Order: sequence, then structure tokens, then C-alpha cells
Amino acid sequence: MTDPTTPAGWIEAWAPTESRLKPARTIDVHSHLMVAESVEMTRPHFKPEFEPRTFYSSPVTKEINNEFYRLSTPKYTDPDTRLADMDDMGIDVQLVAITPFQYFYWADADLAPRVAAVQNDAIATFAAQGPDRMVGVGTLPMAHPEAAVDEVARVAERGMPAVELGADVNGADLDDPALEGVWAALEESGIAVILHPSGFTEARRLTDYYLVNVIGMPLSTTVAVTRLILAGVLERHPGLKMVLVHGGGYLPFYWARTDHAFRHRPEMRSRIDRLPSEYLGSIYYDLTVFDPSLVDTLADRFGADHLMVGTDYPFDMGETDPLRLLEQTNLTATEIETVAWGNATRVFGLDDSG
Amino acid sequence: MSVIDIHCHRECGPAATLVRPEAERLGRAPLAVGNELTKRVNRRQLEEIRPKMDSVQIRIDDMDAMGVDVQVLSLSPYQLFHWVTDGDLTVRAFQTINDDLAALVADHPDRFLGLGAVPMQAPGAAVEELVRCSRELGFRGIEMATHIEGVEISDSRYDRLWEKVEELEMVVFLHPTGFTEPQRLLDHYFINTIGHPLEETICAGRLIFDGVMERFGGLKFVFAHGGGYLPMYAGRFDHAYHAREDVRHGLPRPPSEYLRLFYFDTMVFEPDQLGYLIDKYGADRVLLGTDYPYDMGETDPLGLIGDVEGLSDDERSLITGGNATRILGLDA
Repeated sequence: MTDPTTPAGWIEAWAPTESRLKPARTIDVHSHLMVAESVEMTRPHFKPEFEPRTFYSSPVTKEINNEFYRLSTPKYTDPDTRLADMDDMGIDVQLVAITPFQYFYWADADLAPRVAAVQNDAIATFAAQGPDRMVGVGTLPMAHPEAAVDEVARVAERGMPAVELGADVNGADLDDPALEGVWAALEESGIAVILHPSGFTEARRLTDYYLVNVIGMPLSTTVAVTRLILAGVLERHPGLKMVLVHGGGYLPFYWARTDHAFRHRPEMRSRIDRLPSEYLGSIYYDLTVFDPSLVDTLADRFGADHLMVGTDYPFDMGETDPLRLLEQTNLTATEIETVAWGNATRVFGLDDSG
Repeated sequence: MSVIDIHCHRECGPAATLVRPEAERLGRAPLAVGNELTKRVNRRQLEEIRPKMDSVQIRIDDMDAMGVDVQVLSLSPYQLFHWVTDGDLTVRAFQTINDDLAALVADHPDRFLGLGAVPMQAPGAAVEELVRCSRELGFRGIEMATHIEGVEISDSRYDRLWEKVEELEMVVFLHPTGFTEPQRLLDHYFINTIGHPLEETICAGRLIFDGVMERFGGLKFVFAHGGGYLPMYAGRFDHAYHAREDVRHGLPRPPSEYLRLFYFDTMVFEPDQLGYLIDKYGADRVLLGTDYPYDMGETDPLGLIGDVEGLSDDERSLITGGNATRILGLDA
């Protein structure tokens, strides 16, 4: 693999796997596409402060990202380019979801539902170009909960097994009571949630060194999931299937401080009776963590049956050789087969015939 | 080998009295971040732990109960009065903090050691107070906040301080006081449970990426709370370093190599998490801490360390006192 040190170098980074380990079948639950039409629809209404991750990025970061998107656009928009990269990586099936900076949660009540519908149509059309290779993941207009509930039904009609949701809605947290109906609709329809942050809203100290992403992403997931647990959302919706990207951010690796506070202080105990960490055992985690010891930590704590392969394709913060990562862990051959295929097909209710 | 607690606090009444008029003028209240319940709980806690803060005998009894021979005392972080702007008051406040601590240590030299505090809002004065802490008061280290009123401690204004810290071979114990941007952390005591490990992550990241660890490789930073999120989740930092020029920024080595130059306390509450820290960074990098006497503290530090699987007696001995003895220069 060439050293992927520049936007140009990164295109080549999606290279043939160096793993000798080849699971029978592998599904990648964490990848992204872009929908140009939704960008056009929202452009007239955009304000820079709507996207904190970009808003707080340093000039050099913005420059690198612009160059990266210019060069990598085919990977986000062209199915054949993607399928070739999947072949290289040893990925048989990929879940394809919108790129988080295209959530457009800031769109108004008239525009947002139309944007989500256009995106979901486009995602379904994209996935249909590789019928055995790609599965579309829906998006919801989360700032307008009633419209989001309506869109859940349309996502189900399209046969999409999951929606990808941001870790906050324009800075509002996911335990906002206004979203209760959305969680109920998702639980009832059996549609899974892939929770994917878009950086952290309060990012003034994260401007340099791409910390807006490097820290902002796991931090954002940590705040969101801890709140979903403490506010009782997961307690009230035990059937809600929740998949976290980036290995679930910080909480699965540093949960004991939250448990300690739960035991010793009253602030966390208003809505749940069980330790916060217990809820982590009913969540699923992708493996875009870049370090086999972190995969082992997740497996030891939550079980190999709670892990799924993720790549974050085609971002430069992606895992280009997920099979090599698995190979470097302490997982058994049987566990690796489960992580590579069985867990995702079970949780997303995909046809196991492949 | 003595059992040494690197992370425990005491308050300084005289310094608080000294800055009170200025605090009132500026409307600064201690522990004022969080929702109403958090503020109430924290006010009650300050009253409840008052005897532990004020009575040396109660403190020593608690140390005996925990099996701690020596507390390396640092100021309760909310009393690091970096918001004071008046130059004369700043200097006097930090001198008072350090003199008060030195007096306690002098009364019980076999049970207490002190970590000083320096006026970081005035870098020149901070260097002077650092030298005084070392040469006149006999402190082997200082406590420091993870930012100074929003300024990163990796800022170049502190280069002269780092030179001096290195030269005096002092330990720097880093302790956060909650995240600078608390808007989304007001509920559920997130300001502490998320804010502390986040601050440590940002601070360690900046010390690495801004090149402080590259330029001052002899610095001995001890991070509270096991270093927060970063040591437990370092893969994303290294990946970004390899993937992006805005992250590398000329730094010659990947972040995880500098991360290995830090020390971490044991304040992670759970044997698996502590075991990960020890496995990843080495038993010679982890030091016993308790956060005494706060409710976010560990009351059975030896039990926690004892519950970590696979540790040898030598490794346990390093963590409970050997490392502190070495980096504080107590064996010299």
C-alpha cells in the first residue's frame, strides 16, 4: 500500500487487502455516498455556522478537504469505482449511507422532508446498480419529527434495513422528547439505526490538527449515546437496533467513570435503574478504530457477536484494510466469520443467502 | 516500598480568602458549571468533605484505611486561580497556596509531599514561582490545569517554563476542571464525566501535535483519570497522522510514540480499563491515584490494582509506589 499521506495518495490507498485471512463473506456496514441533487436543493439556504465541523476547521484543513473531495468524488458517486474498490478490500456487500455533511438537518420544515425523500430515492437507485453488492441505508429529516416518522414508513417500503442518523440535530440532543415518536416508529418497523456523528458542535478548541474530526467524531457519539442511555430512550425502546460507528466513540472504552458517577451522584439516576454500561451490551459496534487492541477490547467486553466490519469508505479517515485489522486481533476464526458477515445480516435482517 | 497516592487534593483557605474580593467583583463562583442539581450536589459535597479537607488527622486515618502511606497533595483544581488578572494579587495568591502546602508537608514529612501551583496567567512569574517551589519549598513537581483560561498549555508562551521544568526535573501533574465549552455538557454531570477525559485528550493531543513532547522530551507529565480518552482510543490519532498533512504538520513521529512518554494515574475505576492502560503503555507508566476526598474518587486503590489480571508483584509495586518514587526523585 502506498503511504496515504495526501489527498492524491489517498485514492490509491484503497488497494488490495494484505490479509491472508479471507472470511467466506464480508459485509461493510459503514460507507458513504453523496447525492448531488440534495446539495443543489439546499445550497440557497446554507449558512457556514450550520456545519460546525467545517465552520471550526482550520484553513489548511478546508484546503485539504476540498482537494480530497475533488479527487475522490467518483468513489462517492460512481458504483463501478466503488465495486472495484470493494473487490480489492475483499468486501462482498456494502451498506451505503449518505455522507454526514449532507444530513442537511438545518433545512426548514418544507424543504427538509423533500431533501430526505430525494436522497433516499437516490440511495436506493445507487444501491440497485449493484443488486447483490450494495444495500441502501436511508436518511430522515430529524429536525422535523413528524416528517421523520412519515419517512420511516417510506424507508421501510423501499426495503431499506436501516437509517443513518446524526449524533445531534442542529445541536439538540437525541434524547429530546420531540424525537420519541421517531424512536418508536423505528423500533416498530424493525429498521436499525446507524448512528453517525458529524463532528461536535462546540468545536472551538478542535480547530487545529483536524481535531474537529479526530476528537469531534468520537466525542459526539459519546455525548449522544450516554444521553440516550441516561434519558431512558434505550430502556423504553428495547427493540431499537443501534449500531455505532468508529467503534462507538469513547464510551465503550471508558465507561467506568460514567458508572461510578451513576453510583455516587443523583444526576444520572432520574430515568434508569440499571448501570449505564449495561445498555452498551445491547448495542452494536463497527470496527473503524484502526488498532486491533481496540477491537479486542470491544470483543472482550461486549462479545464478538456485537461487532461488525466498517470502513468509512471512501473517506481518508477510513479503514482501507478491514480484513487485515481483523487478522491482527485475538478473535477466533469462528468469531471472525461472525463479525465479517453473520452479525450484520442478523441485525439488519438481510437475506443470508448472500 | 511505600504506597504513594499521586492524585489527591486539598484546599487552601488562605488563598481563597485572598482572592475573594476579586472573585466577587468578577462574579466568579467555584464549581458553578452544570445544571441546578449538579450545583446543589457539589455545594453539599463541599460541606460534607469539609472535615476531610480541614482535619489532618481524619485525612491520615483515611489514608491508613486505604493503605496509602504518602499523599502527594495538589490543590483542589477549582482553586487554581488563573482568572485573576491583577499581577500583584496573582503572585501573592500562588505564593500563599504553595507556602500553605509546604507548611503542612513540613509538619508531616513522612505522610505528605506537595505538588506546587504556578501562576500560568503570567508566564514569567510562573517560572519564578516554579523555581521557588523547587529550591525553597522542596516540591518535586507542580499541578497544572489542562488549559489556562482557554489558552492551551502547549502555547509557545510557556516554552521557557518547560525548559525550567525539565532542568529542575520536576513532575507536572495535569488535572482538568471541566471542558471550556460546557453548553452540551450541563446535564448528567457530563461536565465532569465527559469534560475531564475530554480535556485530558485535547491537552495531551496539543502537547503532542504542537511539538512540546518533541522539543522537551524529558518532561514528566502525569495525567489524571488515566489520561482520559486518548490512551484508551489512540488509533484514530495515529491514523489521522498518517492520512493527513494538517495533522502531521511536520511532526516527525506518530502521536502514539509521544503518548508513551506520558504517565497516567489509575483513576479509571475498573480493572479491565486499568489493565488495558498497563498493557499498552507499560507498568512503569502508571501511578496509583485516588482523587481523595471527592465523590468521583477511588476509595480502594489497592483493591482496584489487585483486581487487574496478570500483573506481577514487581509491576504492582511499580504502580503503587515505585514509579512515583522514581519520577519524583525520592530515591535520590
